[in-house]
Amino acid sequence: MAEFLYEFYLSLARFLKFIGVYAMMGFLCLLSLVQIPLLNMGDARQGLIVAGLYFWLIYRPALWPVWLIFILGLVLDLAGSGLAGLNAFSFLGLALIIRGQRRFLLGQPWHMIWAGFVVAMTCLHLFQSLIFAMTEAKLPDLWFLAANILISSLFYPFFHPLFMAYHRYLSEDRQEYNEIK
Amino acid sequence: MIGEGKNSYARRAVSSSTGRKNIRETATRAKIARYFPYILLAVAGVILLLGLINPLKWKQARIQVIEQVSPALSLLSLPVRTIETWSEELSQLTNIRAENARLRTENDQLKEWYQTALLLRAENQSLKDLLNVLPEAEQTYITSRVVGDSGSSYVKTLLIQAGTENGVEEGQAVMGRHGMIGRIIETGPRAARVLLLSDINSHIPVIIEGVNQRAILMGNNDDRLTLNHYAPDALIKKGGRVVTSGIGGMFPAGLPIGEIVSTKGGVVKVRLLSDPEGEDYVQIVERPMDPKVKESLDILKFPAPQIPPTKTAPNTVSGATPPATPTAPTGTPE
Repeated sequence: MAEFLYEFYLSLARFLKFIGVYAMMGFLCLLSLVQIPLLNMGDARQGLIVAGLYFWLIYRPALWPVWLIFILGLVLDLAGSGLAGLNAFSFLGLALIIRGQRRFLLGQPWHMIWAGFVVAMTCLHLFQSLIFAMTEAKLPDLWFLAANILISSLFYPFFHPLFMAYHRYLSEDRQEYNEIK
Repeated sequence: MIGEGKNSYARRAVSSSTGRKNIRETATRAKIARYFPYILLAVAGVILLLGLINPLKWKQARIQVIEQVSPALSLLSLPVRTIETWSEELSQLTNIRAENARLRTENDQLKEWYQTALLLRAENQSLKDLLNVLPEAEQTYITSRVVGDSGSSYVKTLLIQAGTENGVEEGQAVMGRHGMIGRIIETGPRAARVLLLSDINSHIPVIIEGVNQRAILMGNNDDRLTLNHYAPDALIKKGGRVVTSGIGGMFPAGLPIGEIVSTKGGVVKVRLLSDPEGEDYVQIVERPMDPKVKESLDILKFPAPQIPPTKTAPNTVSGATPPATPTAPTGTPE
């Protein structure tokens, strides 16, 4: 009985730790919708969500199945009053590309991963700008677009250590669990 | 022995068919798993296309989502607002003396303007009475906190914490500190979305004060809006004030919007009086109600105390407020 309870406790603790990843992402999603005076650039705040998504898709892809990314994108589309399906489509596309490059990125130092993030943000912004240019029949302001890419790319170095620490914390838990087993 | 042989043969046949079935199932599952991301991508593409064809298709879903998200956003925006207020106060502390002097001067000027306004009001009222002008509906406002925005630079919207339960309706004008900033496009019971005037989809009828020229103010996702559809010979000058025209009956006439900042190359640019991205609170202009309907509603809301009827006036209930009649003209124009 005691063994069962201990097993149950371990499983629950492990579950709560993994929930932390989703809670973090949920917080970042909400933060991207709050009016922040310093970040009135709109799309730059999208970098908050993409930073999280990018990291976890490289280090813990099992935590982010495609259906979850689809739902995340769709909810953001509906909450942000943008084009329905745009975030869902671009996040899914991004996820497929990142998963394809995962093995390469895993063995790279952090600044290379950051460079990958800059490429991901550039692709995302260019795609979304293209869609809006098509729908609104208006070319996007290139300086504004460049500023958005630059600012959103600057978020990543702040979040990488935090996510990495949490990723290690999750791995520690698995090691402990295996030792006990 | 023969029977055993038959049985083992049958068992083997069954197990091989089950095995084949399992292999087939596994292969199908693997195929689905392999193509599932692409199926979802196609679904997202279809949703995107449907949204482009009919933007109102997702309206109900959007209302549901903003209704769920707004309390969390409200909670999260609190520390952001607090930090913003602190930083503003800190920056104001440094030039408090200069600010004080400026405010004193402004106050003196405002006092003079107040006297002028009183005189003008009295004059306006007497002229209205003279011309037997019908009384205009009273304007009422709903004040609400801004809790979020679109999170995109291609869509200019705000999320406010007031909905149908507070009297907010679609199409109502939304005012910032100094002028109109947008209109309500989606309403839930406790939350609503404001389409800002700077959004590319915002087109509203306006009038240029002074020259009395009608035009359409169009957003372009920029902080400088464009005036269109005005008469080619219109004398539009820099500094002209742009207000709502009231045409179409959507917004009340005369709500201040902005001022003309440039007229280069036949393109008239307008700067909004209120910066929508810096607004913490907004005022929603309630649709003007017919004065007679409002009066009747007021009577229903606050009924006069019931007093037993007296014998002096048959067929009347004394004590009850008689229904208000439109004020008789004090004079008739010749």
